Amino acid sequence: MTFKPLILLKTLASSLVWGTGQFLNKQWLKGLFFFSFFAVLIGIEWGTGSYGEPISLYDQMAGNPITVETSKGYVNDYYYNLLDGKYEETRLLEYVAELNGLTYNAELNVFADDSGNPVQPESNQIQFNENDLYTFLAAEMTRIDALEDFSTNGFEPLLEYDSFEAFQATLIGGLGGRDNYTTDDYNKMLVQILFRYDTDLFDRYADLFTNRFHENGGFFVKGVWGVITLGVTPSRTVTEHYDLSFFIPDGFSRRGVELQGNFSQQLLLRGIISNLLLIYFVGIYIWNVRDAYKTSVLIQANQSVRSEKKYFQDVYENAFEYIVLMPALFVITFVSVMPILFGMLVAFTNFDAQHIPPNNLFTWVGFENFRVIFSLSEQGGLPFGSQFFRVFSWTLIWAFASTFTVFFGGFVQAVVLSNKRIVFRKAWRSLLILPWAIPALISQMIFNVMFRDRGWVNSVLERVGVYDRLFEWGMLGRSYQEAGTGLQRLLYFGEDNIQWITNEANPWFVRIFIITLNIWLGFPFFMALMTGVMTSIDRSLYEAAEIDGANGFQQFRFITMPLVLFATSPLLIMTFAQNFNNFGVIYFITQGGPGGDFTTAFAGQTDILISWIYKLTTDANVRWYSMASVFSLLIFLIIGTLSAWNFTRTRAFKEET
Amino acid sequence: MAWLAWTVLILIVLFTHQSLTHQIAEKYGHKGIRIGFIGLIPIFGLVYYMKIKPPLRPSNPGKVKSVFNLKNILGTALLYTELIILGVIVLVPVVYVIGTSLNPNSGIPTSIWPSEPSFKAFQFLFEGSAMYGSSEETNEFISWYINTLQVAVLTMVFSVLFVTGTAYVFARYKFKGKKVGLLTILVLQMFPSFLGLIAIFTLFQTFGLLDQPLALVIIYTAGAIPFNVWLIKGYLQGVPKELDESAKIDGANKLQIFFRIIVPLSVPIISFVAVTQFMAPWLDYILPSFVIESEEKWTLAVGIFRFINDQSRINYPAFSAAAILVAVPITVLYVVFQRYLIEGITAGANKG
Repeated sequence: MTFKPLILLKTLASSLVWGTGQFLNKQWLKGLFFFSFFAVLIGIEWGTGSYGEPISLYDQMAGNPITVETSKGYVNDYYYNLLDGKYEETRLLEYVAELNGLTYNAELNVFADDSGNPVQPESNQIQFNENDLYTFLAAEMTRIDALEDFSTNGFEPLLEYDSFEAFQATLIGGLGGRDNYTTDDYNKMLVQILFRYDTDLFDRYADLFTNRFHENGGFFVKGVWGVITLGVTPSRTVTEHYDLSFFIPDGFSRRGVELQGNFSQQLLLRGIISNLLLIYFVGIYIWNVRDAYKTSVLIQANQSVRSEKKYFQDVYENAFEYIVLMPALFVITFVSVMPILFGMLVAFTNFDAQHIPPNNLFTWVGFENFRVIFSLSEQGGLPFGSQFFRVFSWTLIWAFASTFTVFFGGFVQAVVLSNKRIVFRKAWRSLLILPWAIPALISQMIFNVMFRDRGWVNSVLERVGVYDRLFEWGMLGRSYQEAGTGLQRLLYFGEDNIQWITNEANPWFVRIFIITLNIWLGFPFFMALMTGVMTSIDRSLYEAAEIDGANGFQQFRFITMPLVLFATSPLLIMTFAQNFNNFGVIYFITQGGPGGDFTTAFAGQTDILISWIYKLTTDANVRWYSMASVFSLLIFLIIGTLSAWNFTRTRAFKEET
Repeated sequence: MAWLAWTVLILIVLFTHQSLTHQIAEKYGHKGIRIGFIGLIPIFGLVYYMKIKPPLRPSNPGKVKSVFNLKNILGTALLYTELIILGVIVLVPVVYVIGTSLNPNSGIPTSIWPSEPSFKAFQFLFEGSAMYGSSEETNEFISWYINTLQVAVLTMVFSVLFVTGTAYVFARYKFKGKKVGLLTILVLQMFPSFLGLIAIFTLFQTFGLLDQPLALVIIYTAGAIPFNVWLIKGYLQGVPKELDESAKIDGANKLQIFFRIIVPLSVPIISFVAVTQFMAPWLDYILPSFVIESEEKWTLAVGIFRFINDQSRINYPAFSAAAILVAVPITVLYVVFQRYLIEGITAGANKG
């Protein structure tokens, strides 16, 4: 007990710098093991960050700066123009001389050094970089009374300023002229001059665009900052330099210079990744501290400590499961869990068409999106609330109806197939199982083609005279308004053609059609499954029933049906869940239509939740990610709960407990 | 269309005859597939078993006669009517798509079989371009096929690698967090994949993986883990534990047990996982349509759908031809392995 402080010290050492506690325990290998993780953690943060480096606002602008050669050439040009008597003002040359510790004699037009030796303007003793140039031009501008004059009075009267004229001439003809610079470069140059002149403006932009966390932060620091703030600065386009556009040589034009803002979605994503990775490190950290503590206690108590080799062997033996699971766990964490987490979090933001980074950042809005839905309100002019309940009810109807029809369709067909009178049962079964074997995606696309307004099915129906009957009965040939009331409207097929998948006036026609079509796609699975169950029913049951005098129907009613339904009913919930999210049938056959523009928040008449989500997410004209995420979350709550409940009742799960 | 009605009628009569023949032959004690074929020969089949072929066992004449009572004949005919009509309904889209693929014009065909069938659509797919009317159309079918094949093979390999080891651990060992892990895996597969779509897009964007088909492998592999771990785990629990234990006594460690005993014993289920994983990329549309931009990098599902959905490249015969080329191998696999596949699917729901 007296040595307790030492234990505490070692534990503390490990909790600050991983592995040091182990070093103090003289366990070098183990210490190195933990320390290497610490080094990796710090290394990632340091390597991905840019700590200590200055942040330059200009780095975030498009365009290259004017080069040193151009700046220097500008001085030379100016010098010789002065010699030729084109210019009169000598301020630039005086400025250059001062910068380089020389003197400039205005009367003789020469540079001279300390000892009075003349210096040629081209010589290395005269240096003039682009920053000096910007500073000089900015200083020159202070000589003009008001900057606004540039824009209001035009630049013509101001051209008497030699320096601007000379500068333009240099850019056009001289060193590093027109060919080397683009419009972006010139505009960036103007911004640099402007910012040196108007330092307040510079400070305002610098405040926004030189965020320490965003620019310097490494993987983890920036990650945590990103999740909390989702970015702070949207993109901005600098246009204040338009006043200076007379600088730009002819043939180029002024253009806004973009300062790129934060990408909220990337910050959120990186934040999630780094936080997930941090969890792994925290796990190792806890292990490290606990180990330092436990070993110190053992050493204090003079008990034998396992050798390090033995320790790692034991770790391998005991953690074998975890080591094998590690790769899968890793992949699942970052490819499955991470996107799901991201999606869930987006549900609590306003990531929609009006908030697309980097021009408009999105932020946390709490339960606002859920409030919109459950209070039946609108968002951004789109009636999400009312449409959600419409789509949701149809999704439920669809899921129930399609599961029910497919299940019993399969059952009936299995009963037919198992009839003793059928010869070549396997061949028939193989034929009828085709819709299941043909990839659903393909058959759904085929249906889409077959049932178009001017598709094959309609042309056949027209040829065999079905159309004539339908015209006679008024199911075709009239507009919906003229179609009468009640049942007549319900049986409204279309105007010129049977609109299997496009009947906007009578969407229930399309909906019922889709449910019917789905039987084709779905019955074979249950048929095959149930014929399997039927052949496995114990024959002696039927024999016993026969002896008791049961007829065929009674045998079916009291033996076959209960056994088959009992064996297959667990699949009902699975099928329900699948149909609830049966994207393919809806999307490939009807594309969610008919209908589906902004008046219905882009939800078509046959859209189920999942296909609506797809539209909200992928359609470049819609992009309402926040709502799509809210719906996904709701789907998950429904389907996930249902499946988990269903699963906990299975034998497999009970065996685990 | 009248021909179709006649065909159906003839088929009903033919198969009813076959069934009656079969019933008679069974009453006389004959067995086997031969009866079925002979029964398909009109009249002769019935006569053959009633008069020509000697009965293998004497049968009560009343029982034989009962085959010919009206109720039985009508019942049989009714059964076959149902089967044949359903068969026609099942086959119509298949015949339609074959007919369409042989159509020389790119428009939507109005007859089920073209008047001048040609293999132009297939040629168009394999050669990459063809003249339709006065304009030349192009496609990248071969690239789509290669892309998909690459993705499929890699997905198969990685899925099997990841899934088998994970399932082994879950099936054989007890450890902290096992139950939580299993439930998490189960819950994960319930999430609609769209929930992750924006994230996956952003993820790919951040790491420069957009527009690269091979990046899909990562997503498919991860997506395969939950369901297939359950599947293999269920299978492995049926493998007797005594095998592991005796190997352990012989001095094998956990890895050796896995490679020498578990893997060889679970070849059937591993091949099942491999086959289903191989097939998945051929049929997935959502993900590749979202993350792959350039035409030559699409996978087949994306390319095929554009043939009927993208106004600028509408080409119904090409769609059908491509659909056939994709669907035939998969359909054959499904029909041949239907029993295993259905067992595999139900395993998730019943046994876990």
